[in-house]
Amino acid sequence: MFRVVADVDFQSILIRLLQVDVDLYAIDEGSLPHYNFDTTHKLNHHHQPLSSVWPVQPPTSHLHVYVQSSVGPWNLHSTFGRRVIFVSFCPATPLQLAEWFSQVGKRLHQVMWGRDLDGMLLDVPNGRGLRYIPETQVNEPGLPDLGYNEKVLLVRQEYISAFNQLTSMSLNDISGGVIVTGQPGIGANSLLFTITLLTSALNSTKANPAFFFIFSSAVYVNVSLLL
Amino acid sequence: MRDTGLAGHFALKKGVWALTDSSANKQPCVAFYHSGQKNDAWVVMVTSPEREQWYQWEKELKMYHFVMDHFTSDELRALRFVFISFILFSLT
Repeated sequence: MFRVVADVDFQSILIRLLQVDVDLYAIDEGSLPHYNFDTTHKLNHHHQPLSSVWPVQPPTSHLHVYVQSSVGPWNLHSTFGRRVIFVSFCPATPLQLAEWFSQVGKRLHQVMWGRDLDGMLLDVPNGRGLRYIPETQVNEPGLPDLGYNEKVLLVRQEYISAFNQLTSMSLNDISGGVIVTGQPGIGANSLLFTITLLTSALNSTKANPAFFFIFSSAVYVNVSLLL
Repeated sequence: MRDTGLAGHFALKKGVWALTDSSANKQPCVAFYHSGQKNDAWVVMVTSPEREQWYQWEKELKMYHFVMDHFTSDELRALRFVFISFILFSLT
């Protein structure tokens, strides 16, 4: 059984941080490995005031946004001193998204959480058990907002099989994850959305809110596995 | 999700699945990388078969490798039906 948990409300973090005397800066991901986060390190030419790149001009790569106040060590949890927050933003999506992120996650949660997935699926005539999610049902939970670019979603038997196998693999503590590959055109990206729907729909309770964050074209889902 | 140190990367709690894809010019989020490296998040990276797309991640995160099957003939027929239905529905 899966449960989606709200570990963090992105918007509330920003608001909390913005309530203190801070400046927002953006640093391009490419320069990140060379950046020294020592407290004595001063802003260098890699940094731009956030207002100069966001939201007027969406960034072209991942941006790490940090909040800096005037004194103290870098510490997100510190009441005083510098506070650091790193957030990777979707390059293709406008970045005035703090509220939007929340709304997309809430919508998906409201529509999908604990839902009977059978109600969304239509049979493919003579399809030997194959089923698909029609356009209306693709739109309802907001899959396009999550980066799904197709109009319908054919649930391949391979997706269900892959999901079950990945679930088994994930129980191995040694592994950091799984690379899913295959021939071009096999619909591997749709697998991610199928997983997203399955993990939401398999829940039997609406007790916990869900928050989804989008990184590039990927969907970043908080899913806790309950054993 | 928590701050993992001076670098400020957010790490994900154990049991979290981080779903991501990769393309020719973009690497998935470094937060995923670091979380996967620490065996916190379990990264599901969908990518093309080209080795350079995934090799480094697979090696450093000790990732499994899963190859999806191609479409069966039944699935291809189903896919054709689904898209034709969508187009016809759009025209009505």
